[in-house]
Amino acid sequence: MLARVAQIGDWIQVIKTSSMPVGAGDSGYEFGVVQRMAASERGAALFVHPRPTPTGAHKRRPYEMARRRALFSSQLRKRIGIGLIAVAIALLALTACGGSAQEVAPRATPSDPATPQPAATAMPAPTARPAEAPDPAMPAKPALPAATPVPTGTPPPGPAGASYPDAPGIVDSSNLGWPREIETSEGVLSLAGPPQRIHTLSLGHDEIIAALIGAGRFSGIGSFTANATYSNIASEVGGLKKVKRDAEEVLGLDPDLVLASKYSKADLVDLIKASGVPVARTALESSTTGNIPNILLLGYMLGAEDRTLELIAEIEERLAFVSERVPPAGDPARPAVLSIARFSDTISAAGGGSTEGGIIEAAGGVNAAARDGIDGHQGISVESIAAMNPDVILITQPEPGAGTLRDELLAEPALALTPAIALGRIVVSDPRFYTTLSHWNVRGIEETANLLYPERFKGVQFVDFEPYRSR
Amino acid sequence: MRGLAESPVLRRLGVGSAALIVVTAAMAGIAAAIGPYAMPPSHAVSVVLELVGLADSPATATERAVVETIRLPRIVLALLVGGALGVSGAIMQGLFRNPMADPGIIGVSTGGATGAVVAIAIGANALFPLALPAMAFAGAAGALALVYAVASAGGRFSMAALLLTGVAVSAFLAAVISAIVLYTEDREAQRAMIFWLAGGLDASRWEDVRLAAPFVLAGAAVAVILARDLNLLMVSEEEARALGVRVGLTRNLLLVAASLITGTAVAFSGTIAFVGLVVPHALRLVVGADHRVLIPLSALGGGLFLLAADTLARVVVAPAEVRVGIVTSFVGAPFFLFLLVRNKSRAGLI
Repeated sequence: MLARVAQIGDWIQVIKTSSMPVGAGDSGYEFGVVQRMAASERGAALFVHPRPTPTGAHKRRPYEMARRRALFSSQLRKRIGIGLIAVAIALLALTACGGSAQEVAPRATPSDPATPQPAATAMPAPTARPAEAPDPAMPAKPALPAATPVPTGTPPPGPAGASYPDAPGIVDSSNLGWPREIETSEGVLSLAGPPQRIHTLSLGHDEIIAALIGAGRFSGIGSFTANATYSNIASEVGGLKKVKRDAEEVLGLDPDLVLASKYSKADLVDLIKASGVPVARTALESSTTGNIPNILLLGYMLGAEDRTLELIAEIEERLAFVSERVPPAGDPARPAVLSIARFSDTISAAGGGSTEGGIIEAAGGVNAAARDGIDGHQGISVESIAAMNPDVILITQPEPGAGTLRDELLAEPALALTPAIALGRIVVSDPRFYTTLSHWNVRGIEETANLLYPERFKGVQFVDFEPYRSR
Repeated sequence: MRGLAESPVLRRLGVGSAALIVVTAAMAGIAAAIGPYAMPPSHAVSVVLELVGLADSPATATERAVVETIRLPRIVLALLVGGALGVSGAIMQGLFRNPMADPGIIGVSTGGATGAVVAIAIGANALFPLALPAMAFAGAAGALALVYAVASAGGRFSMAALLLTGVAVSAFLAAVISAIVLYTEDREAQRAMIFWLAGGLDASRWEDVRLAAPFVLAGAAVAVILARDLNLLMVSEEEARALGVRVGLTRNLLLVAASLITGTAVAFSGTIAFVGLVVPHALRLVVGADHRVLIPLSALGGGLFLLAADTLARVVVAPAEVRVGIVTSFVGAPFFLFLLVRNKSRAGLI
């Protein structure tokens, strides 16, 4: 479990060391995720920020390397074209003015770090983001990319012309036609065409699939997916039939593919398989980064390769945006954060290996429960909270229980001197972002980072993932 | 007076009580001194001494609050709940003349659990802090009334009918609990039910102690007063009647007392297994079957056992906690087997 936390920490470190500051060279930039600014700044509020450079790329996973190589070469071709056009225009202008072509050529070179690049492309949304408020807490950091007006952004590149990244479970990632094969713990599955009537046994799968192909191909959903308290796609699946995790009910949906997770009951999966319905059991991890291979596999199964790479690019962009602004793992400036929920009288803390713990670490906090030796979710007492002495307490359960717990902890004499209580930093968080197992955990990371370091995210308003829209 | 002092019953009671009180006091001291929040044990002890006006404490404000508002009420509630389960088990084993009887045998525990699960399912526990123990107590009382009414139907009452009715009602209520847990859509409520059913003393408050103590002490007092009559009832109802015992009244009072304290225990701690079964039985193997000795010692022994189990539950994987019901079964079962094997000739069971 601790190894998993360390892995997350390492990952953040890789992102940080491989991030290139603004002006350090264009080759490290890919324009992608667009964050919306605060309401007052909306309108001229689109901005882009850098993606990790190839520096440290040897530490990355193979699929990521392959994707980046494909993206880089694609971008290089575009930029060479842009450069040639710019040079031609400059030569024409110089010829007209009697100047020298070599004096102006650098302006059109994407690698010029100091000069804002011209919007000499046909790419969409050429809007520069307003300068971000200076960050007094990070004086030594290089200027953030968004602080420099950056002229244009490109949508996250798709896999056009490139093979799909390899990921566990994909038998042959170069085969982008049908039939295609995948291999999970339930065996090898050959898919004759894109599944049309899908049912999954987990909320996380539902959320990922809804992001990749929309909710139109669900044959039915679990009741949990329709519960807006916990589900991030409740509004998208409102009209679908709800079933329980029962073999007969699932078979009644007549699915052509059932997706199970490692948490799905083996006997339920066996019953569904025995009836002849194809079942794939994919890993559904409790960390956002750990879910990327799972998203790749799902995208391949669904035949949604372009959208999958877009989603992964967006996840990585969002994570990079946060990790660049928070102290690195091991930095003593990181506050101790305790994530709790209460069931009956028992307070449950999220320790190492938990989704909430991963979110806290990725958001620049120290998971107080994991630090003190708690693995997974375990019951603790109020005294244990006093012993952990957290700087911030997150309550990741719905109301009214969350508010009641918050009030009780605030009134607890034994916690009066705990920093989180003394400073009132005990926050009721949206459980949708903290308990699911999908890319929506990124929203938990963003909200937590904003809570822990408000001065570093001043003026930034994080927004939900856009619902899937067919194109 | 001299004859009374030489009574073997009093001697056994005195020696047993003194031994258990000393061990319980020591255990309470340990429980007050250790826990996830690290502090010098002397500070914890000094806080307790200061509370009873014997010394000034050098403890910090947080240390003082931890001991006063978290550890001490939990210790006292463990003693009350454990004592209640011990007394209730002794009464039930005596009334049913069955060493395998426990406080839940006539469905009182399951009734209490049903009340608690309903409270969680309808969200009452989130709105009123005392709704859950109140509904658990009401469930226990309702189960007792139902079992007794069915067992007495037709004007004929027997302990065998009571036992069978209790088993049937208990099974029915267990099915109700399962259905509620399974079909509750609110995942938070579902988890709350499962946690509650596992039993525990987390979040014990002085308010809980104040509410539980009168019921437990009243029930235990009834049991102690009727202990001699229970001895006679164990021989046979006819013998007891011949010796002047009002059999029906005594039996009903004992049933109500046992149910009252079991319902109270369940209301404040959930269903904690093994205490009501193992403690009276183990003590019976040591001090004999005289309820004048057994019931008071079961109160002390049950309290000591649960306090020790809860202390272990608090510290064994600190800062996390183990559910105390798990510890009582883990520790109680092997200990129970050891006593059975060691005293099998006296127990006459194996």
